[in-house]
Amino acid sequence: MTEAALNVEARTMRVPIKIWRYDSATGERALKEYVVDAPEWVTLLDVLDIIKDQQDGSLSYRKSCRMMICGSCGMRMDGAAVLACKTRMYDIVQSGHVPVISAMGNLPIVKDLVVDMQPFWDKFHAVKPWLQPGYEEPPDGKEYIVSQERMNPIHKESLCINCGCCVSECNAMESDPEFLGPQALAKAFRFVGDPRDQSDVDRLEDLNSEHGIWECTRCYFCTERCPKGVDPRDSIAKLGAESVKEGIDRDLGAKHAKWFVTSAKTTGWLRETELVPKTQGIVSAIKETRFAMTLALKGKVPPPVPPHVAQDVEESRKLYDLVHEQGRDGAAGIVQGERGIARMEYLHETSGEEPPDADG
Amino acid sequence: MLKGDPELLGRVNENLQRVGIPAYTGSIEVRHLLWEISDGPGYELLKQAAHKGLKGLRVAPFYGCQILRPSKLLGHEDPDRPWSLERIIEACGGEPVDYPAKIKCCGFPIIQAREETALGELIQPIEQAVEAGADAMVTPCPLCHLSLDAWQSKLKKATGKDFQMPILHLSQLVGVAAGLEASELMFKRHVVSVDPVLEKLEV
Ligand code: SF4
Ligand code: SF4
Ligand code: FES
Repeated sequence: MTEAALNVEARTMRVPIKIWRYDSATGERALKEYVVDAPEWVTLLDVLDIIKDQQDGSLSYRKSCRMMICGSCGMRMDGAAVLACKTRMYDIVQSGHVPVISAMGNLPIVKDLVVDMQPFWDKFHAVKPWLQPGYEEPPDGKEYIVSQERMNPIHKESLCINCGCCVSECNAMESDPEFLGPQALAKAFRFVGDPRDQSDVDRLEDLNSEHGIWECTRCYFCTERCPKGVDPRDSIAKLGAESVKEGIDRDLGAKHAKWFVTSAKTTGWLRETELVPKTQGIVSAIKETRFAMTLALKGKVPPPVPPHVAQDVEESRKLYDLVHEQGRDGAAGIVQGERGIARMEYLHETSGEEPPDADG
Repeated sequence: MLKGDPELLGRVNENLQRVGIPAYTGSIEVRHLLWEISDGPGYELLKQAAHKGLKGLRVAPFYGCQILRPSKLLGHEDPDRPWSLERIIEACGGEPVDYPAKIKCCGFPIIQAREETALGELIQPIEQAVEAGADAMVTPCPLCHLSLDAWQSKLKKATGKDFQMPILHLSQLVGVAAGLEASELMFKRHVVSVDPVLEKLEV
């Protein structure tokens, strides 16, 4: 680049922004407005830096890499968790909107935009985020080589940078703070799906606990918010599929999920009336009887007998058996779909340009 | 998904063929009623059909998770600032009521497996809609409809709060505005009575 090109002054714009200030020591909370002049290319993080540098040194937030890889700068913009260093301000300023910045949700606030990540790390550690090999060590202390193809199923989960944006808006965690949550569960699949890790069944047993995979409410906020494309809700679906495949199906959530398959196999439909007893077992289903009766009286449930069998139910059964034979049940079925989705996203973003060939 | 991956489509069709089902060509575009009537020709038709109006009924929109997220696969509207239900409510002659939990989860997927967690989610939109002064809530999702309507009794048991918030499915809201009979709209199947709404509209 020529010196002249380097010397071109970036055009500046006026950026108004509101920040929720908070001090956990005093409990004081206030929405403060700032206006800064900044180059047009700035990110939200740059704007915070300018405010701290020029207007208010007491503003607190976390940052390190400034390039979307350290996971420090998670915060909320207009209620949605973002990485401050990934969020460009130009379009927002042009639209005339004044964004409101606040700390991430589902974690205690320490000061301003800084949250206490301890509960996050506790859950992260709870899923044992390290390899538990136990495979036969290769002779002569040589490396254990895994093909790219066998690592591809956990490619997305490996991209996680522990930023917490997914946790911030997790609806199940809002309701029950003990829920393990999207980041820990995505990390768990990163190891369950790793061909070198030999403790899958133990891991799945742990993940089927009270606050494990079946507490996820499928709100898809994690997938919506993740800045790295990890899609934690899909990881949780894969863990559920693997659990059922391994016969770990004691949880009501697993029974519920299994009933969809059984029902489709036996009748070609979802047999809704039996969903409650099949999920909860007879005893608690009877306890639910009064509630169920109210629904039945209102005509909310179809009469239980006889189950209506679809005309071509044989097709549904054969298809199930075939997929099972091919080993496409469990997580594999979900992983193969993700490839199609990734390709779709790529084609969408590049307006139809073919993606480069991936290995495996 | 299949349209994006010819290899996967090939494999699926091979399996379909093996069990005697005709191949999937991907020629059908799946559209939701919400999308169909909130924009374009469907919206024009809606405005004509909703001739009876809603007399300014205050309606709280509740979207449901999987019509908004993941937005990269749905793409109809901004999942954090959706507009389609509001637009339909207005076209029907109602007044949309705004509240933060309108884009959140109703708890239905775990209502059997983790009831307490689910109820902790369910209470948010209902309580906020009550506080915002809504006469009724409307949702395009049949499962949200079920949990918002039928599980209010469980909320009462768990929290002592008896909201009695009438819940309409999107099709029912349009039906009322189009002058369909209450009997056709199956209001007798609701757990929380819709009568206060009908009285307000003098149907
Ligand atoms: S989909 Fe599940 S894990 Fe993800 S944010 Fe919602 S409840 Fe949490
Ligand atoms: S899954 Fe995504 S949003 Fe969640 S911590 Fe990892 S990178 Fe951040
Ligand atoms: S500062 Fe490292 S991810 Fe934003």
